[in-house]
Amino acid sequence: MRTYSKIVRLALIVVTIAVSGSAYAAERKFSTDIIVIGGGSTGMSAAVAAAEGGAKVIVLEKNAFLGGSSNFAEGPFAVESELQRAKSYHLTKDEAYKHIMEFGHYKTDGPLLRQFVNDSGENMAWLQAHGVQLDPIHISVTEPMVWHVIQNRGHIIHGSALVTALQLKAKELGVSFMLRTPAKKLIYSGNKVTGVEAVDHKGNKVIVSAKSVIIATGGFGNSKEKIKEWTKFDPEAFKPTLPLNKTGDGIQMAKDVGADTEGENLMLHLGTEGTGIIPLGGIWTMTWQPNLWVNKYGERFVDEAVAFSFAQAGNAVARQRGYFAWSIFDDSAVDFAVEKGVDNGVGVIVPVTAKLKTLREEIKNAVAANSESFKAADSIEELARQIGVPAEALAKSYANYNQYAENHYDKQFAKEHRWLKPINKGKLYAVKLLPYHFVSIGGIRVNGNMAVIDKNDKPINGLYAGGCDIGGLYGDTYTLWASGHAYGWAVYSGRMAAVNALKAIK
Amino acid sequence: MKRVVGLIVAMAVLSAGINLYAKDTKPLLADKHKAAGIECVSCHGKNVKDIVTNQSCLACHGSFEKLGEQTKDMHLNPHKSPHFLDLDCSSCHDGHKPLKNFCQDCHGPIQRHK
Repeated sequence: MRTYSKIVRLALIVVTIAVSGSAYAAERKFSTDIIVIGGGSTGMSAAVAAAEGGAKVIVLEKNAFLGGSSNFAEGPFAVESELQRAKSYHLTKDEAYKHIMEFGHYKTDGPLLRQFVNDSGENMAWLQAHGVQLDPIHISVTEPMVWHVIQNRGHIIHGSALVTALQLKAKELGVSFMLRTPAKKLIYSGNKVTGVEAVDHKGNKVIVSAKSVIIATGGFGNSKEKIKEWTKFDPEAFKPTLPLNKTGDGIQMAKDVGADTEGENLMLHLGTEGTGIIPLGGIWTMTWQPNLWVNKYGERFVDEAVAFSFAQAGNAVARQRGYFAWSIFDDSAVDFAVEKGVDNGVGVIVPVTAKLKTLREEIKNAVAANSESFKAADSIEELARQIGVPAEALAKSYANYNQYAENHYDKQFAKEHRWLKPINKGKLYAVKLLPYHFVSIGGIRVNGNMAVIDKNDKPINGLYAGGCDIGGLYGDTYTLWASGHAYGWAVYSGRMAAVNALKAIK
Repeated sequence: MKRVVGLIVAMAVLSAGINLYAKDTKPLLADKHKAAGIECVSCHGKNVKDIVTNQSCLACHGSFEKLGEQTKDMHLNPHKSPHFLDLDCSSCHDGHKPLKNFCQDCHGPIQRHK
């Protein structure tokens, strides 16, 4: 009997091994100087800077493409760049730094931000030297000319032009890329990070040993679990703009080896969605315009010119009960958007003064489809009924607003007269304002070398991080005043992580 | 009792129907390659568990420029992306799964007009 059970056990083991052999793919081993986890603008900048310093580099990228969010953002922040000097632009590093600190209510890492602001001009020169063309502009009427918009490269547009330039440079320098190969775990032994365990899309386990690891995974905006666990936001109501697979992997892996974190938050902006609404289309773009905004009680709650600062516009709506509001406008606002172009651009994806040529058609389609997020009516009472807010309250808000427009003075919220236009021509429209987030902000704490630090501020040997995985850069809100802050930081922190990782291994 | 049997029969027929529809009758890319006499190793390299690189695909199918010409009738040309220099070919053309349009993840339904 005993022999029999032994045979059974042996057979089981054989079967198990055979099954695992076919079900589980092989193990691949690599060795390099520096591993970069994540091939966005942080990771690409790190890879290029490290390879230029003579290091062998492997980039592990989770997606089937390089660039992550950086493909869809449009420009980095800088002050006192050569490009600004050429435009005789006045803003200084000192002024910008002080404003950034005020904006973050001194809840941020002062030395780290000072270093970033001081080096930001040189950061643009580095990008230019690597084939990225930039042009500083104002992101909106309220923000300074610090946003260095990336110029298109042939048919490659926006941030993808930067990613492409760095990608070509990295390939020239012999950097290896492993796409669809998410890092799963840092290999930590002898008080040092010595490599990364990853899995490729065929299920092969990929083990890379290295002298240093740079984390650059772009935050956690696509993980409902992490948003719930790490922030105060309801992930069902605050949705990511794009499905980019950013699930906090880098932050989690760093935490698992003892990294400290701070300030996990979201870079909010407004938008809308629903039947008949095209993402970034005409109706969608109206959510970024300073029309009349009311909450679920039919009451105004803000100077709507906050629209010119998208992160703060997100805040204003996010604190309304139910996390939504309605933007109300009339046919003259539609005519203005179609014929003269919008007052507020959606970055440069829909540039300022872009004429919303499809808006009339979209409105017709959304109304015909009885869209839940877009309504049209002949009277304010009828509009109130359609959007489900108290008619009396909305009628009052509407009458007051028109009165303010006539008087050229908004006694309620002191909205600037140029955005205060009467709403009384043709039909009335309402589009639902909902909060979204471009990326998450906050995360791993680093020192000035971009070395990841623990709860005693001691660097974790062999581990660096950059980009949107980093904490300490923002207070309660993304600093849109320093337009392109996250993009500029991504490039800068990636480069610095590489430079310091190189120094440490030499 | 008859009703119950009827219901079960109806459910069986329905689920069979669903299965029929769910099944993609088109041969998979790997099978098409095999039928054309192309070995697994030609794409995968000596280890068939290795991923297929873009270079393997482009070695026979030409450049992205050439592929972009072939799909220029599409509303959004997937081989001439404004976002990605070289998206993994297999993110749409997986050898062992039905064709999927990766661009649709963000852009919504994209049809081939031809």
